[in-house]
Amino acid sequence: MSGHDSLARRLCQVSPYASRIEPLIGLIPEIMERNDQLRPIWTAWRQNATPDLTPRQYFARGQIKVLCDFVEYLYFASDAFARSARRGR
Amino acid sequence: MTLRPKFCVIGTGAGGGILAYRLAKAGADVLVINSGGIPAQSEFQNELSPEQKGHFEIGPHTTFPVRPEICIVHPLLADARRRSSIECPREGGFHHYQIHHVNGLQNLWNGICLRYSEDDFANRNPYSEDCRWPISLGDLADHYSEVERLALVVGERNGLRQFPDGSFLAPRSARQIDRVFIDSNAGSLGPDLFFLENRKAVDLRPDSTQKCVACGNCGRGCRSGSVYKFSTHLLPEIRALRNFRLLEHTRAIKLTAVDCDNAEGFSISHVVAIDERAGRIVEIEADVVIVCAGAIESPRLLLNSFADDRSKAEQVGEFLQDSPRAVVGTSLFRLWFRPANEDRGYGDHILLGGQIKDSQGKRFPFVGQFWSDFTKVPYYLAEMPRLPRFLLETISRQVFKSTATLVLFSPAVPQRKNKVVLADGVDHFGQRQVRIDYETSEIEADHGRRLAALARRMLRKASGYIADDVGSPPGSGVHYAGTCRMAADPKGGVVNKDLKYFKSKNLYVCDGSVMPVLSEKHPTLTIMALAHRLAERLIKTYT
Repeated sequence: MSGHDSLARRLCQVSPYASRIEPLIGLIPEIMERNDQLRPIWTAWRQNATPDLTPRQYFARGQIKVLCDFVEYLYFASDAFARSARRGR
Repeated sequence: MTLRPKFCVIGTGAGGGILAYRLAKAGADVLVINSGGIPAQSEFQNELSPEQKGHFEIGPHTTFPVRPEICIVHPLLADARRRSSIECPREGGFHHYQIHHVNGLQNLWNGICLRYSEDDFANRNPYSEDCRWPISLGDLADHYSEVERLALVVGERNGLRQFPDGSFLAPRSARQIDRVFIDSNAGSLGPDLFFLENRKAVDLRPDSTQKCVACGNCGRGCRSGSVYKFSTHLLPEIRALRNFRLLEHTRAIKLTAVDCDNAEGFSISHVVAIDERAGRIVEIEADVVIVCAGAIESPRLLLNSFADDRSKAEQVGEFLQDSPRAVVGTSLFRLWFRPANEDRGYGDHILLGGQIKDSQGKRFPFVGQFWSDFTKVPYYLAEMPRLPRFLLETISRQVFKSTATLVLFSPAVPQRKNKVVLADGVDHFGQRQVRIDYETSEIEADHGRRLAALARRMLRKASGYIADDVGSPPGSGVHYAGTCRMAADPKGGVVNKDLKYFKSKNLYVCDGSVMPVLSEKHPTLTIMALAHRLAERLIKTYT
């Protein structure tokens, strides 16, 4: 597991969907780097000088909201969700 | 390196592809140049999951929560900062989608093929006095038929004046969600509104190696190669011909003009191109040059070429148009808790058309497509109230399989002030970019509001639980036209009715830019028919 993956995993813990997107953790650093809104959050998190802080302690409320929306979006755009939604009623 | 073909075709989109094919098949000596190469089929694996694609449709400018919006994200689209023909668009400005590869924008074409009607060619659009068709439907009818056969267009004959019939193969049948939509609305439509089977360039032939695999989303690049494009449908037939040559990764950067002594105007002596990979200059001395680079790139090439003598490029770039439209999305409640239907066909099986009134009581025509596919991008989340996780998941499952979107188009209102002009910035290859000045007219905005209201009404009748107006910023219609418009005389446009540049004896333009005014219908088939007509004329004149 790379250092970035570990950082991404900790960052995603802000969302109740964190466990559902576990297989996608490796993609998150690149996606956040590419996106204008997410890049500052990712950069700040990488440069976190006090690693003991959780994201909720480290970021402002508005940024936490963005992160939660991002993780929720990832789950409902994921293969896992699409596969389950295609099945059954 | 200097090449000396009879014909030099610049671009392989809707116009250039047909033109190159027809000229090559007739035995003419044709050189085709195109920026970029033939995209690998792997670029179009739209059945690959978002995970496999890796970016989940999250682009650099996506904001969270993600709102429904028209934002086409695809790796083939030119990066505005590096390769685009236009300067970085300002916030809210005209967004130009551009693909620097063989097939051009047809790489992501949805495949809808509608003939323009007699009324369209008869210049009945009351807002287009400066932009008038100099040809009639009769001039194009046979060419429409030819390109419909080449592109394998499916559809049904309906006998409608607004949508002239063509040479169709049998379409796929309507899906469950299409029937829900039609049945809910059929009784409520007045005599001026009607449904018809979609007409699309989709290969449904059972024995074809590239037949449609019913993945439902032609507009994101066809995964099986069944939606028409030059590289999959025509190029294989002509590639081995000795009189045909395609130079990929070769971008035209300048046309060199030589003034003639007679009244025929100037002559193009050279096409100067750049080999994008090697960085070296390629010079082409052709008897005839046909620019088919699209309604933004073609004027850009002409404006760059004649920057020192603007009289050679009078009116070039003016009257830029994009189809005004309304896009409204929803989920049909009537399909909730029913088994998911895996048959997604070709996404939009049903067209609707007719006329409605604007806010002044004037009638205007429209056409719409009813689109449905599994929801790969969960735009709906932004509209959801805060819900417990299990409830959000349950609702999302239902939305996923019952998504419906209506896309309705109205005719453009051509304005001289909407234009492409040379900018100061340069692209990756040092060629001057263009700036797009564009303002949506009040009439178009009014039509858009009317169409959005109609779409919401129809979707609600079909049990749409919520109807989101997705919005349609300038440029997102991706029907670019008007910038080298054809006309009966030089005062009225840039090219004549045979698409010959008025001021030149051997320069032609053949792409969306020559269409003087956009009707409500999708323009691609008309561009292809114009290209076929031009090819026939060039064959007669020069070979």
